[in-house]
Amino acid sequence: MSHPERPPPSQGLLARGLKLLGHLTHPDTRTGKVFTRAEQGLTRAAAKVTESPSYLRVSGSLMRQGFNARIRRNGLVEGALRTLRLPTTSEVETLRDQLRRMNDQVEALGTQLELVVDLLHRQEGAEPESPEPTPKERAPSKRRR
Amino acid sequence: MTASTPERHRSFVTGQVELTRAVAHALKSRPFNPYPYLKPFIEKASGVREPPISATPHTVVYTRGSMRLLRYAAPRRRHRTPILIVYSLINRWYILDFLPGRSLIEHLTREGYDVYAIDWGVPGQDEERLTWDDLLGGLIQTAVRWTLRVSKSRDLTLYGYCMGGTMALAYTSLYPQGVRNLVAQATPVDFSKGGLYTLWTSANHFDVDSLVDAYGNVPTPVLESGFLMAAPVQRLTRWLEVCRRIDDPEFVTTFLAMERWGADPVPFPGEVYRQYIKDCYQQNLFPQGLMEVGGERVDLRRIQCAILNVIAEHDTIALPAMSEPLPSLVSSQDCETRRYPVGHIGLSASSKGATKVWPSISAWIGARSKPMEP
Repeated sequence: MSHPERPPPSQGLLARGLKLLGHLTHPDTRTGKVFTRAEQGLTRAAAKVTESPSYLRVSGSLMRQGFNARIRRNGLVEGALRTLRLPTTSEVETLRDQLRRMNDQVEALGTQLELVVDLLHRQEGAEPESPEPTPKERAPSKRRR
Repeated sequence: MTASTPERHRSFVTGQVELTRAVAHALKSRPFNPYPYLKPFIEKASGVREPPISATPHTVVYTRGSMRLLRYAAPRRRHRTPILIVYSLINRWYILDFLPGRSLIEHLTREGYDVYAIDWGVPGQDEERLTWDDLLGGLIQTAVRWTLRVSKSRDLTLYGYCMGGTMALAYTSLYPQGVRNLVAQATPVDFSKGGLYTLWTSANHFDVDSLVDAYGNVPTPVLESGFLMAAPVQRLTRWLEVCRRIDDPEFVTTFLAMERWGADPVPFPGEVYRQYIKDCYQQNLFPQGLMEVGGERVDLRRIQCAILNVIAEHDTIALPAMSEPLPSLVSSQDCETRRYPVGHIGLSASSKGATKVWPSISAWIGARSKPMEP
């Protein structure tokens, strides 16, 4: 709903600056036309470079060297930390992951328990039919206390 | 009532401190994506804050490792057959629950479907050795069982998006039980027609083995650099549009939500990536029925359920030519291809989605779903 009597919110310096930047680069303005041409030129140049066999050969070779250097460095760092009997980076990462997953598992367990209770309630009822498929793992126990 | 001068000074200083802190934080993690650097300026100038992630009410049904199965219950369920969404391993599932009023999942729940979505989470060290067999025969199969169990249904509609569509097709080929319908949305099938991505991942210059051996999981900067190189200039210049429309809160919210999602990539499980690149992009074994998962061939001819092949005409990631051959590769009698004048993400998050794409997909699924018993 509009409020014609309410004045528009005062714009800060940053907002006005961004709007000016947007205006100057708009394709309808003179500066914007120049900008658009430059953008199109850069896009064409980038496309040419990224599809050129030389670029692909050089970048592929550099990547391979970088990855191999990383494999060697990782081996050295982990070896040194093990020698010093310090937790390695990968061990700390694993611990962090386990904590995050524990949180998710607790949440899922709540939902699964609700489902088990629901199934038990239905078994208590007189209806003999149970059309649901029974997944193999974690089948709810039929024992009741 | 206007604020007093000291109050305005205090507010100005606080604002500058917050802005500096946000930019310093972004500089510390140094991501490729411009979002963390530019977001604080846009937020401050527009007064708009990031919307919440996946706002449609949901619960976690099951979790294993980094994967979670989420349930979005229908407010008034009309279909017995539930929908299980298999999202790609690149980026996060919540693009399908983008913003309130602009969410595919919200749309489907309002149409009366019980919707489930697999959130692959953030793969860690445990996922480094995950294989396609673990993914299909372990995680997706378990997600299918839990979906059937919770929704009290005998079968479901499998809804794959992007690489998730490839996984859904492979899953249905190997484990067809319980899959009543399959929606393959922007799904790469023929990888020889993948354009730039096929060229970049060619075995001649892309050594996927050394990448996976070096990192375990494929790190996000490597994945991001691929998308950056696909459109390096537009990645930055599209921010100029939000500068022009800084006083349009709806536009700024949508823009920030989209950029936030784009700037939230996750590592790709290493062994799954190795086989995906080798078997699909480098050798194109998938459409030929020669890709092997757990010692068994993924033969798409084994798929007999109803299939909807959804193609985005302006897709630059899963090019239309990659998805077009699907009907000729499966044995389904009921296989339909529908094309929409949108891009890859536009299928799930554009304004056209809510008016043109989702009602059409929902109607297709509805006609093939079992209704709720009275």
